Amino acid sequence: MTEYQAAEHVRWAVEAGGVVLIDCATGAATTLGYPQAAIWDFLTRGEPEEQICAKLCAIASLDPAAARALVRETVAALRDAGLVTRG
Amino acid sequence: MFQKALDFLERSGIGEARLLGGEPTLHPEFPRLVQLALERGLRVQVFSNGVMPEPALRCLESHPAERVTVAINTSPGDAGQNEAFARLGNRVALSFNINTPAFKPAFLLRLIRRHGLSPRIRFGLAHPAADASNRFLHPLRYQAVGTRLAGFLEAARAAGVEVSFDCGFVPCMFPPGILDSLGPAASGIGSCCSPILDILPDGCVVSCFPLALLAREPLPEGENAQALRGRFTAKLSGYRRLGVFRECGACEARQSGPCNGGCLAASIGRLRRGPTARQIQRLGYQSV
Repeated sequence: MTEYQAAEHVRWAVEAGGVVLIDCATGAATTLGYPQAAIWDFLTRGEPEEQICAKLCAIASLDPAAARALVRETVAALRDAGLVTRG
Repeated sequence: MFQKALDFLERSGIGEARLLGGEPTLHPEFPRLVQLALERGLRVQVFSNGVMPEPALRCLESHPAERVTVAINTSPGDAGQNEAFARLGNRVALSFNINTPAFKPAFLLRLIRRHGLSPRIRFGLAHPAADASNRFLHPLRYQAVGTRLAGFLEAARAAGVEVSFDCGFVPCMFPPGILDSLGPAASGIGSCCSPILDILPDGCVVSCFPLALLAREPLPEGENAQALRGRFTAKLSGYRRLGVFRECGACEARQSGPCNGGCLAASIGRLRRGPTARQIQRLGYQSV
């Protein structure tokens, strides 16, 4: 199981509609709505992908395959943007 | 360095040199600095705690109120300021920095009346420094401050005292209807957090003191304030997605323009890093 964590230079704040991530190295902002914001929250708490998928099924009423696809897609996007690193 | 700063004001079309600190009147060359600014045709505004050495007082009282004004930051029972009040009279406008919702502003009206000060009060909020190492007013307390201020505004109006608000005030901190009754004084509320440009003694210029760690560069040769503000604004634009409250992201006043989400330094104070191991444990999450 793969674990990710917020990159060292990333800070974030919870907003009414999701989470705003700030890359402190560049000042760039990324907004995540839900349920991607929930994925971010779980990632930054050090939860592995499988566990996140299971929780996402419950909170977003997704079937396991859809939850897994969403988590993988979100994590890949965050990783490509340099916002998360492997824990 | 001071001459370079004056050059910058001139080429930026800024008509006023504002001297602030620390306590600017303690600078050993304070009278000369004031004179240099005046010789350039600039007005001078000094931000002081009101306890100043004799040469500074003599300098300030020798110039007319049209050219030199002094914003004295005061607090209740601050007797050390009385001499400055007595000698500078209507050159002085009071400034009050709010760092607690339990402030009692009525004494400001008494000071103005007793000393014949300029009938103006400027309220400021104590904002966090970028590293939040100072004593500041947490945004969760803004509403209590707004309610208390609303009670004072009527008394100020009755006394013929004009109230203005420094950066960081937001419309939602005031009770409904109060802003409408404020008239022009309300115009900047919610929208005046922008690079004010503070020039430091080391020759650097910062967006403002609270953001000094994020937006800072050497005072540019040949460039004006507009260019520099543009650069700082761009540099901080990502952080602008944040507001001082979690609810700012969905607030209509923010989306439609009247409010920009309040003090950027206070907004940045909401940013967090990953939770500590202890927090994770307390929340019941497993650290794998």
